[in-house]
Amino acid sequence: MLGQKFKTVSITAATLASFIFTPVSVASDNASNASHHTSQASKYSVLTVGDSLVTGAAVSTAVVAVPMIITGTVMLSGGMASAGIASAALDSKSSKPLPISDDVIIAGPPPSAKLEGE
Amino acid sequence: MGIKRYAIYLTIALQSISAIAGSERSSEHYFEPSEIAQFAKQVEKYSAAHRAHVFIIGRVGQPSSTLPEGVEFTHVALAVYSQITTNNGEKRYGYAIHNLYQQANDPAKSELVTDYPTDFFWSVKELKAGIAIPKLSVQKRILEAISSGVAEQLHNPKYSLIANPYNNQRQNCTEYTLNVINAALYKTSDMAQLKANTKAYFNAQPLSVSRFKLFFGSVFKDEIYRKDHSGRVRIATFTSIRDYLEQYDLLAHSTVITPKQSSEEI
Repeated sequence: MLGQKFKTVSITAATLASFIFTPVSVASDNASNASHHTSQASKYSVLTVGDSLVTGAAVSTAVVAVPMIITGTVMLSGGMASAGIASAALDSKSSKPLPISDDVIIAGPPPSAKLEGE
Repeated sequence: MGIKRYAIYLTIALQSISAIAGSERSSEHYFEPSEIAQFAKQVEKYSAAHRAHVFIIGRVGQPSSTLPEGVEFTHVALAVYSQITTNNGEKRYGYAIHNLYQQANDPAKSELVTDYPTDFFWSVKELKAGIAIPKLSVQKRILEAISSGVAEQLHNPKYSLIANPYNNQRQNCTEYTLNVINAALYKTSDMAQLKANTKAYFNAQPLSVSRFKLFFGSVFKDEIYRKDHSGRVRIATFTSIRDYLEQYDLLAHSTVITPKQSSEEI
């Protein structure tokens, strides 16, 4: 009897503890900043090595993304103003798809990683 | 109910709440990296074919069978067509995704993070994307809100998985996305005005999770906050935002994309 109660209490405690102290699926499926740094490196690695390689695609880490600004019928970013791609491809009256790079682009490490070791 | 059964029930209950709308940034992946990258590119090319400069994007962080009724996607953000400079200085064109993510070390706090489609779908449990493309005039307003820094001003770092979209006590990814859309439409970052308009015109999704589960969720998990709700818990979701845009004639197109099924009209 006593043993059964002890077993029940132990299972209950373990169940609750595992829930409270173990990350639960979605809600706490976070990487810490440090481990996120590692994970981005790991992501880059698995995307580029061996069988995981995405055929024909380079893998790049993004430094900055500038949204295209719509001005009139043409969308331009500061960097695109002089690019030949701009007016023809981005005319909002066009039916052509917007250009999409074939490269696989991933985010770089978080800013905090830049201070690691200092 | 015996203690053992009670504990097991409680565990299941809490897990079901946690599956609602997690805004996680995880390193784990459940599909082959090449599959993820190809799917991400498929989503980009579909959106680009529709000439979407800005669209609402949703992903599934949990198996659909575990999600509460009315919740189809677990994380929502804004995808913005961008010129992307890579680490070797080259210019590329594609979508950058503007997210509100839970902070790594404190799930009750959030941060704004820009990532890219392969990052966005890296940890999904299903390769499935929700896409809602606003009309071009709305896209222009959203771009202005992002470029002018208004979108950043709308961030409330106090995170709740079940944040009430009708007030600004806590915020999750879907509420933040809705805030940006409304700030763009009304050209204001005045949160009181935005919330008044949200109450008047936005139909949040009632959450089909029992009071019992929500009570224990709020007791055990800092990121499940119940006190910003009075009465039934209602949350912003991908579908409720899509419906909001459609109701007020602000939506150009919406779809669900899977690898096998290139598109399935909603």
